[in-house]
Amino acid sequence: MRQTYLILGATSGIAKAIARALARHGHDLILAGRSAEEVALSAADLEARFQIRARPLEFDATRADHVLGVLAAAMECNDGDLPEGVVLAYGVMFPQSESEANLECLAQTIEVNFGSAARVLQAFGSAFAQRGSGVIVGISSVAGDRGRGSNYHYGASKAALTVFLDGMRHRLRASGVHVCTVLPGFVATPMTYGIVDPASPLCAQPEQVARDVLKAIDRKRGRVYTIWWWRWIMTVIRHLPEAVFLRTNL
Amino acid sequence: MNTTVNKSQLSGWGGYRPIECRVAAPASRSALRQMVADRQSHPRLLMRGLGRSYGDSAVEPTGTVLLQNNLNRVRSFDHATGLLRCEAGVTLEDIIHVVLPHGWFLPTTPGTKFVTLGGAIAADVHGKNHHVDGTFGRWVQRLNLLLADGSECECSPLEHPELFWATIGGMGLTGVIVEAELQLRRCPSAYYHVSYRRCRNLDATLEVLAETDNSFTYSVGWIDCLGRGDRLGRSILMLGNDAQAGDLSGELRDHPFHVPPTRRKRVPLYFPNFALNRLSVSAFNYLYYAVHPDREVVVDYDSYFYPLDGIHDWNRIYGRRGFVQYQALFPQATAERGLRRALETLAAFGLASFLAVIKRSGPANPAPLSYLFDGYTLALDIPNVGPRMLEMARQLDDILLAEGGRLYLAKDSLMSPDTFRAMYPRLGQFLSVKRSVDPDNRFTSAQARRVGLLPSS
Repeated sequence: MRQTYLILGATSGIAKAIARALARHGHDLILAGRSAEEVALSAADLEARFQIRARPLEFDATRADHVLGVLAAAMECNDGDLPEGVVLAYGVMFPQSESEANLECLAQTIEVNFGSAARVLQAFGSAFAQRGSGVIVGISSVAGDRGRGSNYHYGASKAALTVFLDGMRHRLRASGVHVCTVLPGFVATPMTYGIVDPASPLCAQPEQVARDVLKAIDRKRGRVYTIWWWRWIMTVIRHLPEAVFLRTNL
Repeated sequence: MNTTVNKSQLSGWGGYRPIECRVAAPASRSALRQMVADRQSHPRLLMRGLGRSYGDSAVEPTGTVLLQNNLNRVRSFDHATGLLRCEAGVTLEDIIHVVLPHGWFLPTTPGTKFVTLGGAIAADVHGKNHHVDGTFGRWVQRLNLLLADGSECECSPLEHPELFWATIGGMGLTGVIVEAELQLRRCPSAYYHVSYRRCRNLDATLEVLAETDNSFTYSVGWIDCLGRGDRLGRSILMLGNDAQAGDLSGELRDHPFHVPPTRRKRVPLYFPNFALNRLSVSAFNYLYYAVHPDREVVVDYDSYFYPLDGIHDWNRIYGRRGFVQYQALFPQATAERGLRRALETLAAFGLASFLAVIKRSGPANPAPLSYLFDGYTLALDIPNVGPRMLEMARQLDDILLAEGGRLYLAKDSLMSPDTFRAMYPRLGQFLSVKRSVDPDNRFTSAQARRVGLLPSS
């Protein structure tokens, strides 16, 4: 059935791949992102490729009015109806050293990746619960599974997001709302350009992540590591005794 | 905004002499604009698509190489007129997926679909139908450029025609191709009638190519570069025409634009350098010739246009040392003599690989650096065996110069400035446009400096 999905942070590498996969399945889209020019380009692209309807929506997670108004704005883009699902795919990652030196970066990491995300997710969660249906997909990160010296600012923001999504899934279980926590490992996207080697066997392409996300929506999965082996890598990392862990340079 | 610059080893598809470059991948239009405007951080720039030119056309160790693969959106596609407008980072594969279900195809296509639209325009690529349909650039209706001073400019054969034609085949040296509008070609199906013709020597090859000029839209031949004596220039021509839906069998007739997916293979590792030698290549050529008797078949577009795309990383069979590609264009009038001399040289050196191709070419276009004119081209891979390869290329260059022929920038790794100037008499016309839009030579490439197109330092 043709449904509408709202994608927040629609110009991120992972979001673009998810948008394409949803459009390929014939779903309409609302593409929300910081750059009006980029979301308009993406919307026109998906319409031309897949004969679906894609609406651009300017959305900046650092602006309180955008964060609080996103539900109403999304409904306006969807002829007054609530969309069927929301994919929250935005996030910022500063090099850790930069965010240690500049606390403004640290504040932004927490506010964008978690603070704004929590408010947006709660707004849609409540509205979907009232309707009695809906899909919420949050793109978190394996970086939130254990605080690591090299990336704990970003990791902490994602850990909070993971807990929020997990809790919301628990809360909304009986209301017919599916909440999915997606935990990607290394993915070759503009955010990780120059940080991860796209040719490394541990690095996924955004298209693989998108396939896993669509499968998770389809099968109503709760927590999804993508690519699957990250589940086992992170299990090991989480269970490393502190004394051993501190000696690593992860 | 991500304007991260990363260091990485770049080479062309031939893998010949990789060199460290500063590479960035602007993720948005505004990031691209910002980087082009930032002369301080990026005094020199070069756009790179999928890196399928063979030599150093998309390599620049003295500047910033900008990858265009994130800027790959379709702007509009008119199903009725076949007019497609996209960003230049879109790949030809992508375009086919978008347009083929609606009965359209690329107006002409090179032997791989893993190239970007921008790269195809910058190299003014051609296909098996050049003698009928001209180069890729002929089908470009409009270009949106981002120039060295940060301004944007729209050009077409009618608006700023000098800039338009200098950009077609201009190897990215006039500015960034941001968007292009392409006239597609109606196709009755995704399939082609292909007629295989075995030709026992060069005379037979040229004769069949000449007599089938008008009856086939597409023509290409595999040629044995190790054959000598009365087998010199023996070939298997693959002549093609569009297949009508009604010509297809069974299920395909109802879904003429559908091609069942096939599994791609991958060359998993670099072959050792000794894997390709005269003996193994001769054996391959012998078998290849033997197993292709004259016959007529119907094949899908992938098998006909892109046989090597089915094998990912096929360049690895040449080993880590890499290879150079040599494409020689001989003018119609003296083609027979030139080809014969070139083939004799190739057979004598015994270095040529099994991937050698002969094609017919038609009249030239107005683009000053565009490659083709009326004649025949011979394209082959030469494994990088060091001095002997260089010596052979030098001898081939001499033959080509004596016959008034030309080398193809998108494939060249070795051409000298003198050779380049002799082969491209319209260089002055290109340079006058270059001076007007990019007086400081911000857009540059290792190749442009090597062949003396731009100052060498």
